[in-house]
Amino acid sequence: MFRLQQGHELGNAKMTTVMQDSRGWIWCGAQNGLFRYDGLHFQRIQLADTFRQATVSALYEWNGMIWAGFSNGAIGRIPTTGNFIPALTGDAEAEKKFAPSLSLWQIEEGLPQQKISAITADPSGALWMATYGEGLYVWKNNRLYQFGLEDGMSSLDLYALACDAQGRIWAATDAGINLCQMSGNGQKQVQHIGSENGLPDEIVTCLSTDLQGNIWIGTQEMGIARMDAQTLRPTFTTPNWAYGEISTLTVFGSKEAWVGTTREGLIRVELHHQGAMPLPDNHPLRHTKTHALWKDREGLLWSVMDKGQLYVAEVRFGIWQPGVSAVQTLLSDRQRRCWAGCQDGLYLQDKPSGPFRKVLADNVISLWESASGEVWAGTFGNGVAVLDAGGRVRRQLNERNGLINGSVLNIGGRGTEVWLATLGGVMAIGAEGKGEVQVQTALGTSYVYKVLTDRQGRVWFGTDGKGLAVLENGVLRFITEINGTVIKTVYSIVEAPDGQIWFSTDREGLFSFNNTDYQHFTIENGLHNQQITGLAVDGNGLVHIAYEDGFDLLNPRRKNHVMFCAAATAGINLNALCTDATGNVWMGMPNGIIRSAAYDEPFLDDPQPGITAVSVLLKSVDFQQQNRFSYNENYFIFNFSGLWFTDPDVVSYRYKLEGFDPDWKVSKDHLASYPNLPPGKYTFRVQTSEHGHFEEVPEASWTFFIERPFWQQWWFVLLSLLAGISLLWWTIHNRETRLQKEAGLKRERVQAQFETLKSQINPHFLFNSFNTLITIIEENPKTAVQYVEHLSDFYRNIMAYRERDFISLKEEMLLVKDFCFLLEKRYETGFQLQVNLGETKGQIMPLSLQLLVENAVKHNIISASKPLVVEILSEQDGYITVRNNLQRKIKAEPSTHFGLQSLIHRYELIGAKPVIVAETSEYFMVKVPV
Amino acid sequence: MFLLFQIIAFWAPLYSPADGHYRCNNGKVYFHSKAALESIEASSTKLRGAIDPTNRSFAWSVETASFTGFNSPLQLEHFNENYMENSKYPRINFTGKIIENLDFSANGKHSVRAKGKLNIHGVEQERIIRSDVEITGNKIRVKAQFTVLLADHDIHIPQIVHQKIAEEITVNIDAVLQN
Repeated sequence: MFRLQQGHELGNAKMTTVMQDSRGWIWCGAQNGLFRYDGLHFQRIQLADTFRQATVSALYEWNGMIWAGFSNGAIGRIPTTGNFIPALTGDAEAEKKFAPSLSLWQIEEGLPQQKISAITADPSGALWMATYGEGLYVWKNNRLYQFGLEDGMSSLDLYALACDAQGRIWAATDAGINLCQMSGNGQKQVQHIGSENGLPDEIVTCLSTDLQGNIWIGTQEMGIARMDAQTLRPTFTTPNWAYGEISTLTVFGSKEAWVGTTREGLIRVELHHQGAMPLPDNHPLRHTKTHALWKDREGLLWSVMDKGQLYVAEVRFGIWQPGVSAVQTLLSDRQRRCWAGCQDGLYLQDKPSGPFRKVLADNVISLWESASGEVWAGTFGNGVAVLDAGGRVRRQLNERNGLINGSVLNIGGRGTEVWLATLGGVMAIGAEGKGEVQVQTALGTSYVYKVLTDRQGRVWFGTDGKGLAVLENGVLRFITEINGTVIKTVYSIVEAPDGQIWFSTDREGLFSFNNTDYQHFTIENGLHNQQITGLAVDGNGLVHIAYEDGFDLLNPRRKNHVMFCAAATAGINLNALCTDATGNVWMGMPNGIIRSAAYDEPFLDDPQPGITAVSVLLKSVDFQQQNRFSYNENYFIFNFSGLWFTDPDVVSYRYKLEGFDPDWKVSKDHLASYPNLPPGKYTFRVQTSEHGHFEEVPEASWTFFIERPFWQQWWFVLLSLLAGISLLWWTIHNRETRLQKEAGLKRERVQAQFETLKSQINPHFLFNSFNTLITIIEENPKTAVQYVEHLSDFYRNIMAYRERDFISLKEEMLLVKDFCFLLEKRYETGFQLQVNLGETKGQIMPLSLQLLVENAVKHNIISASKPLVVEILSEQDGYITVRNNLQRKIKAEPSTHFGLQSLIHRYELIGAKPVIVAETSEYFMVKVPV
Repeated sequence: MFLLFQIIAFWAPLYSPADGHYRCNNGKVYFHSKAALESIEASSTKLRGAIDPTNRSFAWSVETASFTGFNSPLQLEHFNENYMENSKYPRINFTGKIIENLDFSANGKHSVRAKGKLNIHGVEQERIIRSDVEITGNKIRVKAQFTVLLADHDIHIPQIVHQKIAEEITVNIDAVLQN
């Protein structure tokens, strides 16, 4: 029954204390260590330096944290909701970040310096800490207070704490119990409970509470006691305690207490009769010290024993009564004494857990207790023996005094009527041996395996071949078909506390009948198999279904909820199940009797699922805090657990990622991974089951969101659309403008070329030029040649440059010089060109300077007395200035005004600096950008 | 019993021969409060104290009027008259017992916790104050830091200066007692 809990993670850690937190994890305090346990693996909690070399002496859960008290007075805390599974990647940093660790509780007042023996909280939100040597501390409204001798404590050496329903703290000391309270205004109250209150022993070593609100105490010498929290007096004691000092205790319902002692191991105390039952003498844990006990939410008993080993025991099925073998039939009488019918005789156990003594030598195959307390023992071949409560045979029934057959397979009945199922048929007889013998001939001579008289007075018969029969108001009715299933043989019939009739068949499984409807249970519903050997219903209504290799526990209040218990319970005989007066079921085994306790305390009957860790892109995340992730954080791994300490290996999981998985996935793994989740809302759901059926099982879930990438967000789409439209519009608009400009420029240039050509081939110009030529050709033929050369240069250059947008300033100046040479020859001293260019660098539109010079000549008087001076100057700001002294012709030459306008316009179109035209009384001036 | 001890400690002549008590009458008390608008600090060097090593009991006392070092004379006046109500409650007392079983003959540093009744403004609050104790021969140097909540001692601050004074005052003690 005691399973040692081991793991390589433990090293040689010596456990000192154990507890279960509200989420189901087992926490173990040890010498220099603290562990969290899920039934499969221990996880070591990192300890700060203050805790090293110290021993965990107290554990408690409060405010979402585990509080650990140490032997050196230090107190540490760790949140219960942390991510306890380290990162999967071996990423040292992440592991360090998420490695669970216990942090020192730091308060202004300082922590105690003596061993923390217990921690508990009261309903007002105060945390109480008992020390061994410094009395009691309480943390209330963020301040620490102490209860010492001056406050009325009877000792500073405290062993244990408990909180009662009124919020009072019970502190166990060597000198009785101190009942402590602290009012809102800091007023302390201490009330002493000692022998004057009937405390059996003033040295109280441990405390516990029960569901009824009583405080249970363990003492040094006088065993245990139950203290009424109202009257402060004991309502249960163990006067003849023989197992020495008690170190710890825990109470199961109102029936049983488990007590840990310092020398005698674990003791079970049956509260109905104050019976203290130690472990069997040869049990390895019989004569050892118990350090700590904890009753978990599944009803398992955890114990820290002797050298710091941790054990878990399924005490509910663990009680074993050896001393009888090959039990064929079993009865627990109204005094809760056990009768066991075996092949070699009938055995009676005078007191619980006591020895069996043989009271009858026959082969007993059936047992029944009458209303008057007599026990009827049906034998194989030797009739019925009726025994009194002391086990003495009062009378015998056999074929000579009315029995139709000496082999009695089963006995049933109620009140004064007893039914006997014999190999020769079924008969009814008066319970006191009087009354009419009545043979139920309607059943024929077929075997009847079971007779049951229910509380309504109906008599049920389980037959071999004719199905189920019921005798109601004198009418016998056969039930051979239920909802289409043919019933031939019924082995076992029982009545549940709620009045339902349960019966098992040879091959069709199990049925229940609630007076109107039948319900059918088969392997489909989770039954272990359909070869049922016996039935019993316990005080909690759980149906015990026996097979050759174990038994099922069926909870009729829950659909398909069947739990199989195998192993040591193999080989339960046909009739060898019985329910005792306290609701426990006893089952006969080849080598003893086993108990299935019906504790009147609710325990969990499913594994509890929990999500233990979530990692995103292989890194643990704090999923309690964060549930929104970006689009590229889309690789999720979920770790989950199904805490089920009863049998951690059988737990199976069913999980589904709502929003992704269409169906549930069933798995034995503790993790599920989802790479490449698209954006959306998801809920990870996980369910656990102990028996593979997932109806009505508990569930854990976690909802999270993966955001769309920013380019899929509505605002981004809208912005992009707007930006796109704007860009398109801008491009089109730009292109349009540029095309317009280009067209304009082209037109202007063509026009300009045309005008220039027109002006140069102007006959007037040619005529003038030729006149000049004529005048010099004879006087100065050399100069005439020069003149013609310049003239032809000039025309050639015009031809060469007119197609180009720009020419260098140097080229333009050569052209202007040619032109001016012609003009100088013509006007002689009447025309003067003065060039003052620093550097002849830069680009200029072709013929622009020539045009300006020509304009000057065209519009001004030119004579020797009034010479026209044209200056070409370079300016600092990137302009070339063409300036002439202003002496307008009286009669203006007809002008298209095209030349200058065209020049200005052309410069505008290419987007250069504007051409500047200025006129003063002396000068006409045009600035052309370079 | 504490009251009696207090009377003995303070009103018996300080040169009382060899009663085994450690005494001091010039210990330093320094307090400061960091409020949103203004930091206030003040100190006194008139802390008197006595420790009885036989039962580890102690008594400390300081006159509220002995505090100096406020930001302004007005602040001092407010402290004495409005907050501490000097005339009604002229002294601050802390009497009690050391929780740890301190060995007064062991030279060296010890960390102990003093449990006692802190009386400020006539309101008594039970407190545990952690103190560092350094024993050298017949001298004991006591250093401690703790906080006082004004509300705990019914010290009411007018709404108008609320931002100038913190709800919580940090107090530092440094005193040398001599046998």
